[in-house]
Amino acid sequence: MSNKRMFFIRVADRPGVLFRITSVFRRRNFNIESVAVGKANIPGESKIVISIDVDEEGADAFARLVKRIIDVYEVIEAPQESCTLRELTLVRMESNEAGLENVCKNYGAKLTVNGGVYIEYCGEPQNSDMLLKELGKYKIKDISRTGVTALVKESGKDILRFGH
Amino acid sequence: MQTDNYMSGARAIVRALENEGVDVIFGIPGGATLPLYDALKDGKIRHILARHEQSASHMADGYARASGRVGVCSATSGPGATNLLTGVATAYMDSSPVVAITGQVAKPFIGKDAFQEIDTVGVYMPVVKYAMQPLTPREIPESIKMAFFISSTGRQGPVLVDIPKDVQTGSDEMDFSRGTDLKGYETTYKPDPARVREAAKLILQAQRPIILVGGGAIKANAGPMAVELAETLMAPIASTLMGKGAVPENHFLSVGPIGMHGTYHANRLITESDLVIGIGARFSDRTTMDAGEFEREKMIIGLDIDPTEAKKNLKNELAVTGDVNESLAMMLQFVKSMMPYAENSPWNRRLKELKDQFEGKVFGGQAVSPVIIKKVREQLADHDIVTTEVGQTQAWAELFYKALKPRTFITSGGLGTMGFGFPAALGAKVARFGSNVVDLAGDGSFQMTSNSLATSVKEGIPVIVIIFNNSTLGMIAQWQRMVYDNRMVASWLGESPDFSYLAKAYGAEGVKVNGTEDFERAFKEALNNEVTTVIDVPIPPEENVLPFVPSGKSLREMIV
Ligand SMILES: Cc1ncc(C[n+]2csc(CCOP(=O)(O)OP(=O)(O)O)c2C)c(N)n1
Repeated sequence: MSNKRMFFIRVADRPGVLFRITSVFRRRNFNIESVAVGKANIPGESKIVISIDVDEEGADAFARLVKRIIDVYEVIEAPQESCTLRELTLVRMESNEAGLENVCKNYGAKLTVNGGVYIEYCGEPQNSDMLLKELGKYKIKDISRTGVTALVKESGKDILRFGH
Repeated sequence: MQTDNYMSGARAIVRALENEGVDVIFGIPGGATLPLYDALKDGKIRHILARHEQSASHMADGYARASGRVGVCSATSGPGATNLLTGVATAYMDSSPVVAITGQVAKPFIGKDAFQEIDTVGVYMPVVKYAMQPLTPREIPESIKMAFFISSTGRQGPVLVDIPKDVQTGSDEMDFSRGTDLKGYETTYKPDPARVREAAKLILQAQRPIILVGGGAIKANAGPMAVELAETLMAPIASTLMGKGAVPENHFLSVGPIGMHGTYHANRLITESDLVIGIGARFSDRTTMDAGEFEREKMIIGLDIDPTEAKKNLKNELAVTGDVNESLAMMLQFVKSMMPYAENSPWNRRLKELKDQFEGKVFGGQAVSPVIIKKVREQLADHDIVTTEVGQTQAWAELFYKALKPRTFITSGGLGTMGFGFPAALGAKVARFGSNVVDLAGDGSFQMTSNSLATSVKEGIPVIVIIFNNSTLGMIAQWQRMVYDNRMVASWLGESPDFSYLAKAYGAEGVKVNGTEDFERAFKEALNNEVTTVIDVPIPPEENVLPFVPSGKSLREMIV
């Protein structure tokens, strides 16, 4: 079973917050898989979404340590199975080779030919991985992925909440 | 229109500090704090000039630990800030309320490798509870207010305020009444009654409970309640190194500290116990030694104000998060309503037996250090203060100095910083001028901050330094003898400068004593001196502090 877990961290919009949070993971030598930061629906607040490979006990400890940071309002921690996950992937191709269009259609990715050949895909990270594998058969010039962002499912299980 | 509240950022710092009731700052000025120092000239705050910023932060820390109030230190940007860091980290590890104010280069120079520019906030972040850098003069009153609030509430700790020079020189209308915006910051957690009841049940089931007080018990002044619980259960009271003095160590249930350099009977009792009730103790590796062995066949109750301490080091822990006094009060209520009196229990007889046999016992033959420490205790009043450096002397003091009141035994437990004791003693003396303050020092440690002699003489802060002069980095030598097969490397200090002359060169008093009788005479004299007195006591270099539990071993594997 995968140990991938998501942290949803509501923070004060102040400089250095992200540094403080990532330091908690770095100090214990954990590798963060992805971080996504964005403004939240409350003014003065941001939301940081972190994906990390850690067991339940470790996740609990991390959640407490992150909550201890003064600028952190709330930490929610959940296994990935309990979340809806999305990631945006952008790919630039050498040329519009035959077959590309078909691959895109299969994945529901968007192909744009306008001063270059671009593919844009939004979906679950595993699907991004699969799409990129397919595209590997063609000539890729560049790839950028946003990292995963997520929301907890209404029906999600094993969700821990710290703070208010 | 300009009002009385229109002023420079530097003046605003001073005013905000005065509003917090600050009476003293320990520091050294520099280019990036000149505006602040200029403003200090007109304020009411006393500035005590250190000779090295590390000592300034230790002084502020000593002041905080002795008084319970926030200690303030200051340094300039760059090297001032890096020098100050060791003392701030020391305060962090022992949860001591210190506010550090550093100057920073002016904003246009930040990030450009300007002269004496370092990323102070970046460097300090891992060793402070919070770090701030106000970027306009107007933010200063709120920043200072926040710094004091954060530092002194919840689990206390140091806070950094890094202030660019142009923010100090710029002027604006200041608002000192504005509150602080700290929505995410929880200072106290209400103990959960269900958890406390669960804990009380464990207590009632236990046959051999033991109480363990840590540094948090001193900060919360939970000693009296811990004693009440102990007397209700007739349970022994042990402490961590940081918890010394939370409960008077001459109480009939007190067994002294456990841990790497715990007393024989305390380590035995905690090993034999079936329930440990921790009060403001974080179960550090130096306290529990092998953690798996420590909690084998026993349950742990952990009362702590910090939710991140719950189950951090131990698996069998039932954690009760909240103000420890509140948790204790609640727990006592449950326990008292159900507890049969346990004076003649086998556990209580075991306590008496071990205590009678081992209290005050010196293992491994004759040693001079314990005799000196006992003589110091005899001469000092209950409220007098002892600080320590780090090494064998600290361990001897842990074992043989009986702390009778909270905040009278001041030591660097978490970081183990050599050079802490002397400047911390000066800070403590400033906070509690009516008490005698004595630094128990190794010759190695003392040489790390001995230049604070200048501060002590020039500022009129008389303390006593007792140097346990064994010509070695004693604790290193002990490990090399006992763990590294007698392979002695870099632990021989040899002949140090004559400390009595060194003291005199600074205008302090210095004496070299022969033997313990001579020491007693010199110490009595020092207590009447009006300047700092350094007493140089020769100690045989081969003394080992025993009992001793080497790293990686369990408390049952004491070397005696
Ligand atoms: C700043 C710092 N550097 C190094 C150490 C490692 N260390 C721990 S004890 C010790 C020896 C201390 O010697 P001394 O102060 O003479 O005291 P003694 O052990 O002889 O009583 C050393 C070097 C430390 N704790 N702190």
